[in-house]
Amino acid sequence: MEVLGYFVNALKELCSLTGFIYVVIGTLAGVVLGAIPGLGSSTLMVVLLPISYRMDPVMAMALFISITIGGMSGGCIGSILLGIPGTSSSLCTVFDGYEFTKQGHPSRALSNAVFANFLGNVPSVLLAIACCKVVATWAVKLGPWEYAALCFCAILMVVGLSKGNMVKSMVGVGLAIFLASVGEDPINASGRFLFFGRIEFLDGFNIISVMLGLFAAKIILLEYARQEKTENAVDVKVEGFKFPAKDLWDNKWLVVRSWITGAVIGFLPGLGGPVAAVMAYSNEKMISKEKEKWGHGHIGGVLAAETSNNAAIGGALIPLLALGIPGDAAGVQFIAALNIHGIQIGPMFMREQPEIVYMIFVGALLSGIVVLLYETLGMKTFPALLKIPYHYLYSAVIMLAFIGAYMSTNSFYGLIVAICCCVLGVLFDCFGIPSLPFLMTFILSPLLELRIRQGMSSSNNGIKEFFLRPISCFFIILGILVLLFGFLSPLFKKLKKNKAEENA
Amino acid sequence: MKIKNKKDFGLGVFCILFAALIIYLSLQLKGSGYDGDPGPKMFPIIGSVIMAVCGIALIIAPEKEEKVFLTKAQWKAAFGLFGMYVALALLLWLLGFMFAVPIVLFIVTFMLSKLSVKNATIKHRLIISLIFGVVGGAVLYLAYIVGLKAQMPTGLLIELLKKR
Repeated sequence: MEVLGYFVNALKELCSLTGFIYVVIGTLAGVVLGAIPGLGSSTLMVVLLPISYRMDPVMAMALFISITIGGMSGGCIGSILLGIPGTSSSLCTVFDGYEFTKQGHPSRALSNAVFANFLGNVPSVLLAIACCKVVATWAVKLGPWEYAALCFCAILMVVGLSKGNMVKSMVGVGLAIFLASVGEDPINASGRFLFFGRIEFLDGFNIISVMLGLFAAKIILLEYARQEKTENAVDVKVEGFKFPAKDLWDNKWLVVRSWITGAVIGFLPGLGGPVAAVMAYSNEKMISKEKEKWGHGHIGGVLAAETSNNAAIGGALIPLLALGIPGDAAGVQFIAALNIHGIQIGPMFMREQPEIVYMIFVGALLSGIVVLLYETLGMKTFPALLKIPYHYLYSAVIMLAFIGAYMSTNSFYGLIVAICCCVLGVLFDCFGIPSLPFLMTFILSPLLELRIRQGMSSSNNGIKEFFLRPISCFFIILGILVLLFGFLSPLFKKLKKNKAEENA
Repeated sequence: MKIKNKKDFGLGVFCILFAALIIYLSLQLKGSGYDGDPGPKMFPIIGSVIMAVCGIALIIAPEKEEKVFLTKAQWKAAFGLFGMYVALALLLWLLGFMFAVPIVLFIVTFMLSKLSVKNATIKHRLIISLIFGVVGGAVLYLAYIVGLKAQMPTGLLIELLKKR
């Protein structure tokens, strides 16, 4: 009954004029930014983080979840109409979706994608609602040892399972551990690495400034340098939405399997929508009876990719809300947004801030419906979204990013950190260092340090205690195994390939 | 010894040197004084060791292919826009929010318009950018200073002029 009360309260707030405007504007802005290749809804979220300081935290969460849902759904528009994914989660949608556009049937692919978005995200949010309470009830029983092991496992899983060079991912992890150490010591509040004796470093590097530099400023800088936007003009005529009843019926089991893949992958830290889509697409292609048609305009390709990447949203909400462990960059942004309001996310979050948790759930459900309504009724406007003049949008994003960086600390310190992080982001791209392991470690490292040191000082066994407790030991071993898997799997693949070549 | 991948070699050397510096700085930190607590130096040292080990791995076993990240012209363009980021910080400090935002917005819009307004003349792009700079600056001023009541820099030069 208590849960129902929170649910109804959240729904009441979102049905008020302010709440409704937040959800509708957030969702539509997410769709637009998601549709435009390069930017993505995460840029919008990062830019809005400093402004959210002035918002009610409950409403701010409704806005952010709406942007996330809108962004994930909008990604398919660029993929289908341009052949360029709006977001990395919609990469696989290009393979078959763009073929439909080339054949003159973009509406069929779009109609299927739009409905797959809805079938992916709404049930996955319902799953999150059902699971979060159970996981959170279990999580409050965890001591500092188990919680530290969980954070440790999450970081290693991000490194082990994410794509890119593992050694370079670990460079990012090491650097993030150091950068997160700058500032107050979490145990005795003494200053660490206060360079040039500057007191500003006592607050450490603000996560908002770091993300503004690492995402918004860097993305636009590299887009401008590569001049990628000049070729993106789209001249496609899109008819209205047609309910894809036959396509959905023919592919009903494909949709179910892709949804399960998405929800499970979303639950694992560091993977999220992009990996979910790739896994669902390749699995479905592998078991399909019409393998040869995939990649040449098979509707199953669109449905698998779009169902799974949207299902990952709900999956990622479970560790985020029940444990305080972000599954992807959007999760990190949620934590940063809550930190602005002095709210620490962790195992107690569901018990202490249920109104925020249920606002996120209800906001996600409502946003899923708003996306469906907009994308079905306004499908004809999709090509126009891709014609938005970039020079206005990008220059506005740059200004919002740097003003936000200043606002995040109310001093030039935040602005300078953002500029430095922009350089860091460019260097990361230049040297091939993935930014997600860096970001995840940067956000989890202070928590990990605190729990490890609390665990060591509240037990006579020191570091051994982490291995003596079964849950803690399990997560440590799991993390190490996943990391080893990440290191060794390319070697095994190479050996297998060499063997196959020898046999041939 | 022939260096297979200059980028990875450079990154490896940087990681080792940076890790050595952080370890040195970490060793200067005092302990917390609590029983069993390894103290504030533990985490930065862990981070440094990870970086050092990865640095060695990058030198010994670099990636086979060295991909071109940006061409010379692209680097030039990147530095151009990055210069505007720095200019924004400087102008905010000197002229304050009210003047710095429209000026930088105008210049950045003009620079970026090269990407999306392909057939326009420079004069046309200048006019569009100028209008956007002024209108955008005014909108941002209203949104942040009037609406959100944010404390934005008023500018060193403007403050000096006001005092006179």
